[in-house]
Amino acid sequence: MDDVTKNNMEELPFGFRRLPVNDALREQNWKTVEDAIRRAESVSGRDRSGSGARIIRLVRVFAAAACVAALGFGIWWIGARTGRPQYANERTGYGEMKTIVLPDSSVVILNSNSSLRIPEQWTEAAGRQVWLEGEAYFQVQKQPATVRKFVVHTRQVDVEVLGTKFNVNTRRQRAVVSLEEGKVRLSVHGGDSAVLEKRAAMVMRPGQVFVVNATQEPRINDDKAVAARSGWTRHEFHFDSTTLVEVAHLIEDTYGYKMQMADSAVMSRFMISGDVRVQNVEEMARVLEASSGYTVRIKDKTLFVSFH
Amino acid sequence: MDAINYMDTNPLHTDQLEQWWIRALEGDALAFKEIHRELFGGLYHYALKLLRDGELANDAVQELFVRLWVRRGSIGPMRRVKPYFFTALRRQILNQLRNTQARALKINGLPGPDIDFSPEEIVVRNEEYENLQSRVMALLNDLPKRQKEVIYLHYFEEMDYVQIAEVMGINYQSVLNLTQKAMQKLRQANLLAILFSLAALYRWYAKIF
Repeated sequence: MDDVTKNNMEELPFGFRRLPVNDALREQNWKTVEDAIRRAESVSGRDRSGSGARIIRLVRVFAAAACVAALGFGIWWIGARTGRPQYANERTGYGEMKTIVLPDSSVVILNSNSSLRIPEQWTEAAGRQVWLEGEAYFQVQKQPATVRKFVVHTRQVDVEVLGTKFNVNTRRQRAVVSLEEGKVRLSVHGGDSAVLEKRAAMVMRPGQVFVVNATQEPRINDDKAVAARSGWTRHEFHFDSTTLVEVAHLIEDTYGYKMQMADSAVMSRFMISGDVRVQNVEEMARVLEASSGYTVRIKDKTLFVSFH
Repeated sequence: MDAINYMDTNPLHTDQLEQWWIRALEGDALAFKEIHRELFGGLYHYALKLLRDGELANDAVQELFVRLWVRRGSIGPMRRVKPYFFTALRRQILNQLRNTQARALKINGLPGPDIDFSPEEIVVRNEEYENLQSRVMALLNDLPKRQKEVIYLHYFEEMDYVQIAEVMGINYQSVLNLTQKAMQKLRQANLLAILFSLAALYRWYAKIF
């Protein structure tokens, strides 16, 4: 194709130029298409080598039916190949944190009281997939586009990764995905809400936070403090006008300790701000004491907060 | 502006594509590859214009080819292969965008189905008129989006009005109207060009005297 497309300079004092396409991009694109159609072909297992008008007509007549059959067979085939994969389950207890290196050398830091299910072998057909409950920080190895995408499945949302650093938190009936670098595509699960359709996909940009819960429409917001959402990987907590109720949730999710206060109404009114770095629940209690002026006592896996 | 003048007569775009498509129908993946080789550039750029994201555009074209291959039996032989691929791609992308938009009312920086021209895509007759290039770009990008799309398909993809009507899913007369409106505005660029050459002349005179 010519560099300058249909030259219209006799009508207008300027012309248009179509930017050239990178050959490598085209070839890589074709390779992916070819792999996909080859898979479809080998599944249908039919011989298309014959030629002539009759064959074409036959093909036309039966193609639709065959495609349906092929698709069904394909689903079965993929199902059969991946139906009983072996999984490794990584778990963390309260106050525990674990760093996991995946077969593709992506790194996952699993926060406390969370679990990650990983297929023991990452076959090409199954792709790179993990299942998360709780919270984890991902640093995904970028791969050529021909390799299957990396997907994190959670109860509420699937996060399809296009090479990247992000945090996924699925605690408390909601999912919060915060993106530091790269790009991810989200598919929200249908669930009971008719508004959410599984196939619908959203794309997130760095510095954005995605939230979905049972009662609200999923939404994506900009968040300047996106990096703070993975602070837990460094034992850092970022509080910004955070109420004691939220702090209590955090302590429960992270350490499995409850928080109690004589005057529970105060808990939703009292807010703290600042960055803290604590290794365990005792340190957290001391920080709270120092910043609030309350006394924090630990007994029976509960933090008792009182004013003395 | 006779529609006949713009009829696509390039054999590569008509007969050859049609032949390849027929062979693809018989299961000839090599012929399908030829179609890919021929159309990838145009489809990718069109997807890029609509999605404004290279990776998404790349994925969209992949999905298109895989889908059309799988469904080729129900599509059957066709004469207008290129517009068919563009139509299918456009519909696929609009669906994709519509799904995204319906869902996330509050997404920031959501890509809209709007076309933006970049300076590298515009060639001015005289390289001196760098300013002219940016003015022309502003003029182009100011057009309503459907006018921009018509201009894009016409000048970048060399489609005739019938093909554009097919791709955009509007009737022939609407394409003519959109083109005419766009051209009226773009002719302002003529005026700009004259002003620029006058300015150049003036500088030249000033240098001599």
